Formats: sequence, structure tokens, C-alpha cells
Amino acid sequence: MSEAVARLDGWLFAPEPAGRVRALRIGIAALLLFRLVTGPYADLGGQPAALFRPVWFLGWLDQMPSREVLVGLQLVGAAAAGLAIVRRCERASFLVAWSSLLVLDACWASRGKVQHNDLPLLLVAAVLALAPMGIRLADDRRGAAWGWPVRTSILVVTSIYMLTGFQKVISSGPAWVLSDHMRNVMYGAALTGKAPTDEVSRFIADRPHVAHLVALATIVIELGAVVPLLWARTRVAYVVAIALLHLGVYFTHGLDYSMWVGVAAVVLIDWRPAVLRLVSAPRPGRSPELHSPRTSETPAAEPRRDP
Amino acid sequence: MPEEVSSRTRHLLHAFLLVFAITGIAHLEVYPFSGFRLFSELRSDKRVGWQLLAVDDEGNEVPIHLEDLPLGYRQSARVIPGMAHRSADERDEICDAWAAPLRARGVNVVRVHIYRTVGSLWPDTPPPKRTLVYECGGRAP
Repeated sequence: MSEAVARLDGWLFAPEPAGRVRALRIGIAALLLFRLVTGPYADLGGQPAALFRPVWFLGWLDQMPSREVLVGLQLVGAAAAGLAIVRRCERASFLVAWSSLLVLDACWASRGKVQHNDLPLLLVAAVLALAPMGIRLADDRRGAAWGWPVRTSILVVTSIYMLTGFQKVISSGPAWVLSDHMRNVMYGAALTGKAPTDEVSRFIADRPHVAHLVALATIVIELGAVVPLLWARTRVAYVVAIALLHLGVYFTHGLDYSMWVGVAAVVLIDWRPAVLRLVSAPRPGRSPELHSPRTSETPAAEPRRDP
Repeated sequence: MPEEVSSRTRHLLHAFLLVFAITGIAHLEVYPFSGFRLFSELRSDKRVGWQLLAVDDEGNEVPIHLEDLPLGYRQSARVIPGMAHRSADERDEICDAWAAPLRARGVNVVRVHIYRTVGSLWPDTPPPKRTLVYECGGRAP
């Protein structure tokens, strides 16, 4: 057991380029900003107190906050996310943006139903809130201090998919794929009328072999998250696979898991080299983000250790 | 710029991952940590649902469509299974909350009927059968 923990620790704290932490934080802050601006939170205001079922840390409230409070939180959080993107008061602004969305999503979940839509974003943002700040995108220094935020984010995102698949296997076993379960799910989805069309869900439900295949593909993609965790080269393909999975969920159930795809794309794909190539063309007055702080005192880059 | 990882950071990270793993494996909901049970339960072909009907002063039943009401009302049918453990006053408060939008439109709601409906998910099957489970509300002005 202790050997396994030591190996996990060795993997988590392996070195990564400092600039990748900055790239991650820009991406996650941009998603926080998008969610804070577009989220449906203001509409929660005015909920009758009798219907309020607060999550554990809102238990001290006896009703949903007012529309004004919810909109205020959205505005403060969105402004803070914008400041975090441009690296102003970075830790404070990132923490304010994260905690604003945490509270707003907690309000959304205080209707007696767990809202999973933003959980990967909130969990990865929690990791990045602890990570070193004041880093530039072009910072090539490598070290454990910049390795753990990157690797923990990758571990969290892939584990969420693995846990989702794991719960299906534990709760239902092979019947999740082999029984009429998926057909029932699809017929049920068609009855809710939430999807843009019921043609996709009915197409799957009416064809037993297609339904079994869809169920199998879902489990394989979810449990298969171990592959991008261990092999970095598969990560782009995995993001494409989960994008297709969530697109399917949207067209059959009308459920929006775009934040899951967004977080996976930000975390699993290393965007930094492409962004640096894109903006590194020499021109006057280029962003200070691009000036590498590497000096003669900075130790030479450590060899890269793939997971 | 600290290039080493402090023991405080390591402890915090270990605690975070431990809670993440425990809630994920033991399917506990400790928001924002989660058991990530998405469609994990086997779904039978049985369709069990709830129907909310407001009763006006002439005895007419008017449907309450929670999904058509503001966001704070949607999904609130999930409180119905727990209503058995609530007092009559609390049940009345919940039912009056559901009736509030109709009252705001001028309907004189005297009580709310909650029916449990059971049918089949599959097409070309008989319509769901319903049973009156609760009669509540009517205390609000």
C-alpha cells in the first residue's frame, strides 16, 4: 500500500514546464468566466423556501438567495475570472472566481438534485487555486512545483470518467450492457422531450443491437480513461471520444455536459506549444507573457518523464 | 519562485485526492465532491412518475407542470418521496409553494393533489395508471 502511494507521489510530483500551469490556469479561468456569464443562476431567485434543499455548506440558509444576490455573485465572479486570465492579483482573483461558481452551483444543486455539469471544472479549479502563481506562459523551467498541478488535474479529469464507469459496473454489472437497460433509458429520454429531437433516442431504443453497442461504447470510453492517464499521446483522441459521447447525451437526453468536454480539452491537451508558436512571431510590444524568465541561475531542464 | 513543493502543499493535495477517491468509490455526495453516479442504476421498462394537480374552488383539477415553471421549481418533485417523513404542515407548505404560480395567475387553489403514476416506457403500451398519494396545501392566502 505504502509503495503504491509512493509511486503515485512520484508520478504526481514529477517535473513539468512552469508555463503549462499558466496555460492551464488561463484555460480554466476562461471556462469559469464562460460559466459565470452564461449560467442559469439568476433564475433560481424567488424559489419558495419550502422547496429549498441546501447542499451541506449552505445548510445555514433557510431559503435560496435572492435574484439580486445571485446576479451580484455572477458579476463579481466573472470580473474576477477576467482578472485571473490577465494575471491581475492572480491567486485572489482566481479564488474569488472559483468560490463564486462554487456557491452558485451549490445553489443550483440545492433543489434536491445533484448537478454534475460543472463538477470537473470546480474540482480542477480547486487544484489550480493552490498551484504556484506569477508564472508566464513562455516559462520553460521544469520542476515538481509545476508538475503536481498539471498531473493532479489530469488525474482528476481521467478519474472522474473512470469513476463514472466504475459506478455503472458496481451498481449494475454486465446487465448495464447486455440487458434492455439502454433501450429503457432511451425510451425514457424520448418521453421527457428535453432533447432537440427524439429521433436519435428512438433510433437507438428501437434497435436492440445498436442499444447494446451504445452501452458498450459508453462503458469503454469511461473506463478507458486510464489510457490517456498513462499514455500522453492518446489524450487528443480521448478528448474527441468524450466530445462525441457528450454530444450523443445531448442529442438523446438534452443534457449539457459541455463543461466536461471543455475541462478535459484544457487539461489533457498541452495547448502551450501551439499558443507560443502562434504568438511568438517577433513584433514590437509583444506580451510580457512571452518573455521567458529563465536566467543563468536557473537550473537546466530536467529530462522529461512521461507518466 | 519556489521550485520545491512544501509539505503543506503535499498534505493538502493528499487530503484533496483522498476525499475525491473516497466519495467517488463509496458514491457519497459531499458537494463539490461526488459519487459520479450518472445513469449507473439499471433502468427497467417501468415508468414511475408524479403528477401534480391543483384543485380550484369548483373542484376542477389544473395541472402543475414543474418543468414549465422557473428554475427554482424544476426538479422539485424529488421532494415527494421524502414527504412521508414530514409533518402535515410541512407538506402543506410544499404544496402551497407549487400552487403559488397558479395563484399568482388568479386561480383559487384550495388544495393540491399528488398522484403517483406507473406505466411503461415503451411505445404502444397502455397509459400510466395513477394513484392519489397526497392531498395537501390550501393554507396559503
